[in-house]
This record gives sequence, C-alpha cells and structure tokens, in this order.
Amino acid sequence: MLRVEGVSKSFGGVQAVDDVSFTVTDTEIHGLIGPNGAGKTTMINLISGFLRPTQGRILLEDREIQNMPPETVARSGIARTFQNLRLFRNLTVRRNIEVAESHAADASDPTLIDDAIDRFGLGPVLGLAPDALSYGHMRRLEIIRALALRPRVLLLDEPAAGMNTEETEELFRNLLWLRERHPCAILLIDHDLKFIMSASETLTVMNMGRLLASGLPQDVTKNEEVIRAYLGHGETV
Amino acid sequence: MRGLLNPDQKRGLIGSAMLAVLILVIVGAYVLWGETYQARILYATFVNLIVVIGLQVFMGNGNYATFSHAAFMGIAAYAAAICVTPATVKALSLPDAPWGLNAFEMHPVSAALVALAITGIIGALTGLFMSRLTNVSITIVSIAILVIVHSIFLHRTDIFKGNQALFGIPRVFGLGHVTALVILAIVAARLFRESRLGLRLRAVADDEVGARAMGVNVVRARMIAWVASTLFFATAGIAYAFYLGTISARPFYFNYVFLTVAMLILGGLRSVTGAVFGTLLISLGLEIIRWLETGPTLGGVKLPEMLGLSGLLLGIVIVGVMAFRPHGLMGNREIEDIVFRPKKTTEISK
Repeated sequence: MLRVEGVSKSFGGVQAVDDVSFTVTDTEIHGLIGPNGAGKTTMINLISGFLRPTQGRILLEDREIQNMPPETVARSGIARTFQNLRLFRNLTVRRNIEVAESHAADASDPTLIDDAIDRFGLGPVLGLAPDALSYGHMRRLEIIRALALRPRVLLLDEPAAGMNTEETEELFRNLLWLRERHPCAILLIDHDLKFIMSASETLTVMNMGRLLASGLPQDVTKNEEVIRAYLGHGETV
Repeated sequence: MRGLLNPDQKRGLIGSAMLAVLILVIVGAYVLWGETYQARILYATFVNLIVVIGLQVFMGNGNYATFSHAAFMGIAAYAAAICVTPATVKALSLPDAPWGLNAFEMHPVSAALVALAITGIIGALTGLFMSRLTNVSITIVSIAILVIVHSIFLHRTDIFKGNQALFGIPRVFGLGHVTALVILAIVAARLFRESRLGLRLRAVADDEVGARAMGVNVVRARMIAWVASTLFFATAGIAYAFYLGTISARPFYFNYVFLTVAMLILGGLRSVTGAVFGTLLISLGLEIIRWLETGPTLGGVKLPEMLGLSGLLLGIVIVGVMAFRPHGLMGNREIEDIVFRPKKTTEISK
C-alpha cells in the first residue's frame, strides 16, 4: 500500500530524516514512535507532500508520490491530521467536513461520514464553529474531516495529544471502528506509549532521523537499540 | 440526482432575495419621494455596491487585501466607452487614436461584452501570478497593477485622454439598469460564496496548510475568484461609463480604492450582506458629511466650512472598525442568519 524507500530529508546542515524505509500494508494500524526530534512529523510531512525528500521514494500502490503537491497527494488517497490543529475556524463543523468531502477519492459510501459523525459524537455540534468545541471534539473533527477524503492511508499526527485516559481509550475504540467501517491503512504517531502499543499492529521506531526498528510491536520493543534510545531499560509497555 | 444548487446556495438565494427587497425599497422610496439630483447619488451608490460585492468575492472570501479594483473598473469603462461612442464623436474626442479605435462604433450590448472580455482577459493574465502569491505580495502587486494602469490612462492621451474628459459616450443606462445589475451581483456573489469553490477559498483563508491537506488546489481557487471579481469591477465600470456619458482617469485611482475598501471593512469582509450594508451606510454617511462640509446652519448656528471631512470620516471608519470590530458589522453572518436567528448564541453561519 504505502512504501517509504530510503527517504532522507535535510534542512541546511541538519539531517532530519536519514535513509528511512518502511511499509504500511492495507488496513493495518502502523505506529510510528520515537523521542522528540526523531523525525516523525517530518516523515508525515514528507508522505503528505508538504516536504519533498532530498533522497528516496514514497510510493502509494506503486505510484511515486514524493514530488506531488499536498493537494494532489490528498486527492490520491492520503489524508492527514496535524499535531497542532488546523481547522477552518470561520466555517462550521459541517462545512469543515464538506471541504474535504468535495475532494473525496471515492464517493461510493455516501453514509460513511454521517455514521462517523454519530460515532464520534459530533452530531449536536455540526452547526458550531470549531472554537466553540472542546479540545477532544476538535481532535475528533480533524479525524472525521480527514476521513471525508475517503483515504486509503490515514496519517494521524498525535491524535490523542491533550486527551485524558478515558478520551484516549474512546479514541482507540473509534479508530478500530473507523478501520472496520472504512478499510484503510492508518499511520499513527503518538507519545502515549500505552495507547500506541495497544492500537498498533506494526511499529516503526525512529531516533535522530534514523530508523531504529520496524516490525511487530512485541519484536520491536525487545530490540536493544530501541530500548537504549527510547524505551529505557526500566520501561514496560 | 444532485440538484443544480446545494442547500447552502438555496439558503443564499433566500438571503439574496431579502437584500434585493432592500434595494428595491430604496429605489421605490426614491421614485416616490426623491429629488431628481438624488438619482445620480443613488446610481453612484449602486455602482459602488457592485464594486464592493466584487471585492467581497476575492478579498472577502480569500481574506486578501487587494487594491487594484479601480484599475479593472477603469479598463472596462474605457473599453466600453471607446467601443460604444459614435465614430463621428471620436473623430473629435480621440483624433489621434491608433489602430482605428476612432473609426468604428458598436451597439451598447456588444460594447459591454467586449469590455467584459478585455477585462476578463487582463484579469486572467494578472491572475496567473496573483494566484501564486501569498498575502503581502498579493497586496503589493495589486497596488502595482493600480499604478501601472493609471499611468497608462494618464500617458496614452491618444487613447484615454488622461485627466481630460472622454466625452460623447451614449448615456444608455438608467437607474433601472443599475438596479438590475446590483441584484444580479448580489445573487452571483452569494451563489459563489456558498459554492464548493467559495467554500474552498474560505477554507484557504482560514488555514492554507489545512486546506491543501484536504485537497484544495489553492492556486486554482484564487485564480477563479480573482477573475470573477474582475468581472464584477468590469460591470461596474461599464455601468459608470454608460450612465455618466463622460469619463476620465482620475476617478479610477486611490481615492476610489480607499472609499470602496472602507465600505467593505465596515460591513464585514466575509459577508455579502456586509458588503451591501457597508456600502449603503458609508454612502449615506458621506452625503451627510458633504452637507456638513458646506457649512450649513443647524438650529440657528452657522457651522464653519469643513472641507476634507469626508476623507476624515473614511479614515475614522477604517481605524475604528479595525480596532473595535475587526470583522465588521456582519462578521461571518448573512442577512438570513439574522432573520432566522438560531437558538444557540454560539452558532454561526455556514
């Protein structure tokens, strides 16, 4: 589905991403973790077209996308959310979703968004501006807005940031529902290790722009380099 | 099957109808009680209204500050004037005109279509780079367009006569024509605002990065809105030339830009209703100020002459609105949002 092959990105003299490769297969939830500055968000920006790699290729179903502008990437089937919310503050919740829906790659499931709105509890706030929503609702709106593109790959950049334990658990259940309702691959970045370990079926770990390990969570968390750089010897997940 | 209009556009048509009624009430009041000289004031107000609505299309929906609208209005006014003026008159008014410009004449409808086409083409050419620029650059380039076009008007006296009057334009328009055009402009601007393209442009105005991530082609959205807005300015320019019968370069410059921008800012950039209310309020205010400028006697007290008061008023309006109500009188709301006010106070328009 999504293949990242030997991708590097440097900003001046700083190597933000260095020769990283991994694959996200159909309908899997793939966690991308690493300490601050590991290059996770840079990787999301590269995949979504907001940055161009200095080296390497990114392929969506064998089609190279690394030189496409973000809007073309989005229309090709890769939707994303942002670490810092990027909602349209002067449009209602409903119209925020409509902006994305008008570019949906596949409109064969007309009830998907209505179902997602019900599931995520946004029905009563459709007529409100995003600023009138709670933080949790804003996060959910960003996910539904991305879903409205009917993506084949959904990139979620810290979707649980700022959420309490209950909200995070609900998000986890909602992601499973979402993947069931609209089969797609999900690339998930988050700092909440418990959340990401329980949600992810495969895991990629980055540190200082480099790939440390990629594979099943139970294997990756036993990787010595991963433990040393990120988890720490006393860490349990 | 999808309808021709989406639900928000249908709602926009209701709002347009309400604004149209307001316009017709004003015209009706003039017909019943107005003085003859007030027809000219009303006509000028409606021409300004078409320009301000055109500003709302690009500047309001996209949240860009642009100042070239008087240039496009001037281009259309001159194009229509040159096409429609009889060749015998142009032999006197434009004796040195090149390319046979003084040797032909056209029916007013054809002249208007030629003027719209010329302005639209120039709009598209300038749009090629305007649509690729970012906020401050758009503002600076729009000022440059205004200055360039004005310089051409001033220096190609063989075609435009500069600050001298280009006279003899057949006066084929009246208050009825401009009223119809204003209502059409309101409907068109509301349909655009509520269309997919208008929605995308408003999303870009809120967050360009977020909009691109949702598949919005920012350049395309800007380009279409820019060209559309130039057609509104062209319509206003044609109406201006067809009513006055005489035009010169001077009105199509900074003073006019300042006036129309103040109108939009007062009403609220993001709303077509705001454009209408802002234009009507400033037009009314300016008439009162012009009366005060002459030094009238009020309650037995003779006021001094206060020339320049109108410029002061516009400055105060811009500073005051920006400081105390940056989203203008209407903010995001349209007239139907006020009439059919939702129960929750936090609810906003689409």
